[in-house]
Amino acid sequence: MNTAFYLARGPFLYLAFAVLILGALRQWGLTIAEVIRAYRVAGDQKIPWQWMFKKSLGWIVPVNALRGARVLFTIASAVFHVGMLLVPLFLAGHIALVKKGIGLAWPALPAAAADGLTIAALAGLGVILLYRLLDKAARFLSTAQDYALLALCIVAFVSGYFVAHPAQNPLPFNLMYLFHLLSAELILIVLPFSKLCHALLFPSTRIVWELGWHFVPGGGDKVRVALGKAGEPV
Amino acid sequence: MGNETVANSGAEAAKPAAKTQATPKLLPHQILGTSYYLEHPYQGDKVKRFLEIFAAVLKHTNYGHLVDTYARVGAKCANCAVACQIYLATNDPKDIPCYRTNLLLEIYRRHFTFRGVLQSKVTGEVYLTDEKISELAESVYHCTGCRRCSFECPMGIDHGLMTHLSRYILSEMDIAPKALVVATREQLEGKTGNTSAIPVPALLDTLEFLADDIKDEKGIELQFPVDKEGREFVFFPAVSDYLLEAETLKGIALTFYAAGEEDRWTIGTGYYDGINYGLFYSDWCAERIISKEIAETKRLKGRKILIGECGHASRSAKVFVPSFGGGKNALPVMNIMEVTLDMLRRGKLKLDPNVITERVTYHDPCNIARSGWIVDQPREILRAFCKNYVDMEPKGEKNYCCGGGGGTVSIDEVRSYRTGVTGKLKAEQIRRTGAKYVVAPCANCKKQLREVCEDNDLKGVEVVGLHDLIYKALILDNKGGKP
Repeated sequence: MNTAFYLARGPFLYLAFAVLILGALRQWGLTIAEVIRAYRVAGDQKIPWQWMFKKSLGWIVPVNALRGARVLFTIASAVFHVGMLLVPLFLAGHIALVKKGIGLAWPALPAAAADGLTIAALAGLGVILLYRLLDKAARFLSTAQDYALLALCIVAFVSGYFVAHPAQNPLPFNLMYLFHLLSAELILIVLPFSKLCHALLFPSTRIVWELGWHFVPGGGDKVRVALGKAGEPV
Repeated sequence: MGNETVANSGAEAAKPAAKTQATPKLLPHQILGTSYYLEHPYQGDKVKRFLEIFAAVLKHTNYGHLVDTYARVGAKCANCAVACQIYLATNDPKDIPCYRTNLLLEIYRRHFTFRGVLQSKVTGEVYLTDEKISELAESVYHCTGCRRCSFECPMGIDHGLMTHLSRYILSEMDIAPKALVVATREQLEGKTGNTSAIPVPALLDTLEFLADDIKDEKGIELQFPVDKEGREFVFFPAVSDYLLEAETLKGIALTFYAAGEEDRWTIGTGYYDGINYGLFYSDWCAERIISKEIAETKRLKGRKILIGECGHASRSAKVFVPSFGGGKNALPVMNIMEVTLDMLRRGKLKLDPNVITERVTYHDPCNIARSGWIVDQPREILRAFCKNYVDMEPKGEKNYCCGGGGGTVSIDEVRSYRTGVTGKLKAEQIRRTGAKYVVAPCANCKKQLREVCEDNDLKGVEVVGLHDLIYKALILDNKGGKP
């Protein structure tokens, strides 16, 4: 137990951050290189930046979707994402750990706000899970990964809450802390390799989409040549 | 099931003499036929061929990184399901846009990523099978490519583009609806050079006939401008309009005449077809078709490409002319409704508000409305002379597709599917408006909506073009025309 705890707080934590950072750099690097490549070979290089920015913003602040058919899901998803971003990054306890480790610090959320966000995020996760289980379309699309990642987030938030409120903790403190560390580390590690990758790539999805419609002149001919079909009729 | 329908129709059509019409197969819903005829699909190792084509496409086009991104970020939230009128009609999870897109993305993940290739090496399993190719082939022609779902995807996954890409890959192994391929072949390699196989003499006869009609009905002597050099616009309608949409063409000609701006446009006899099925299934064909439009416009020293009342022709020109015709230096592309609105705003057109008294509604063709390009222009024109104008709901960028998008309208063998499933919501929408005239400025939508009305028992509804109504309402008294 103590060894596991030691590993989780030490080497594993560094490993998790290393995997996340290297994974993110790889994804971002590839994206930038590929976007530039696609832009250069595109026949039409006019990009509607404003429109793209508006579209991306529309999903960061999904007010439009509030008029749609899945209002509750949209709200739950937005609330969860806000909690998922703010709590890990701005929790006083986390910042204290980072300060101890590498000496960096930044302003923290008030404890009450962090608690509120945690509970809200958990409620959001609950609604998302219910949609996945009860909505016919979502259930059909869901794979084991989709449920596992939801479960992982729930464990991370619940255990985190009890670590912050030891008085209410039903389990031995160190065990709960271990759950928290391991679930959070697992999230960081799988983030670049699973669908959680959307956290890294969200900012580029619109430009990538836009460039997808910017076809390459002569591309169709090159494909035919590569397939040994040059000169063949339709 | 997917396997059976496409493979069967393929096998039938593969025999040279097999021109007989087979009964369309039924989907589990028991109401629709979705098999489409193939000419001579690839007979070798389909899996190997599919992967070769996919690899070549990823290498030589801009799809590679797009597919890679989509394969990583898709969160399977199912938001797209509520936007898809096909899923709403069938309630079959296989019609969820995300599911369809994932058919292709999973092939990419398993055959083109490090992890997928490693997985195959370890397990010795080949993911792609003939059955999966058949399922994809059927699925992507269920989709009308309306792209309504792309608004609902928080990750910006454009399922319409993925449908297009899947169809493109399949078409390179000759899995594409015969109806589309035959028309495109005539357009690119046939004697007439257009999808409806209208030879030039027949075109000229038609134009003369239309002019005679205008003379009889309006008392105006005008001639359709043919092969005039140096005009602002060279005009490309969906060529089928010359056979089917006389009123629309007459309306356009009369509009230019009434505004006194007849010398702004011309029809070219070198090439006169706006249709571009390449948008639906083949990048290779799309580029070749667009080159013909550009070449004809340059031959006639025209300055702009003018597309008639046709959604996909407008969009393919708008998107592909810059892509394949020189980027910034490409010829500008306009839709006829933009030109007409401009004339109306400049006070060049007088429209009688007492001619069209019945209720009018407007159907937004996906290809011009989804991007927000042409949404308000036709409404401004209609409101200028139709007293009883009502909108459908939803409308504009979020409209429902007519149900015949993505080329499916040209596939006659899937009519029961188009009118019973994909066009079902549209039929209800039209019914709710209580309109007599449904204005649908698109050759695809017009044909489809007429069939939708017929098959869904919508009596007394007339599907027309925008210029059909303008033709009726134009006031020509100062031109010597009949009041």
